[in-house]
Amino acid sequence: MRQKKDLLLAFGVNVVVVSFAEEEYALNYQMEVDLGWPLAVDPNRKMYEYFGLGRASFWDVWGPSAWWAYLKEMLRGNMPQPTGGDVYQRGGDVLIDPQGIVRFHKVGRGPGDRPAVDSILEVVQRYNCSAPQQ
Amino acid sequence: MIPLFKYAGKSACFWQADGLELPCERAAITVRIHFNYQNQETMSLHLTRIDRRPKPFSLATTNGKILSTESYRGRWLYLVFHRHLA
Repeated sequence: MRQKKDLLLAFGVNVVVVSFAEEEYALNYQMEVDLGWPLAVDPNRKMYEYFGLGRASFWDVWGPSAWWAYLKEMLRGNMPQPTGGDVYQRGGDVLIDPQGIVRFHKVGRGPGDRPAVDSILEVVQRYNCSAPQQ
Repeated sequence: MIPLFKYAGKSACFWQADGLELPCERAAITVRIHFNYQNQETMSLHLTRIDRRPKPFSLATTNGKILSTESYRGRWLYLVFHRHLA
């Protein structure tokens, strides 16, 4: 996704990464990976709950699709690091349009289950084309 | 919280709530089961769905800024909810 940052910007999409980690831990992470987007913290997971991002199952986290996702990351040179975080918390993606309406919503099943950036841009393009001209 | 009206499923999976019927794949659903004083099971449905306006929110960023619904009015906002950071 970071590789398509320019494309997201070109489409006028503002990305905000949300984490349930404590602020200090999140800050370290942001510096380590050079995130490039604002990192918001939701340690009480209120937004996670609001958007229906609940608990993953054992197989979602440790099943073959998870291992496949980790393997692909390792082949890209990103070695998984040990974490003290809650590995069962689901991630997800929410796209909100300029009128404040949710236009895309996905609950991640497990590691690596993210929509392609192209599919996000497709939604943006579709709504931009159908939105009334001002 | 939206009261759970019924769950209907034949060949496809649908949730029906708030006077609307919604295919499961277009809804993120959390069902909470409560027991009242008569030990009667009641359920409520937290239904987050597309084409709805989410409740106003604000989140603090690591650089001390507060991001809120209003900060992004008039702009597309893509919230990427991380799993654990590693």
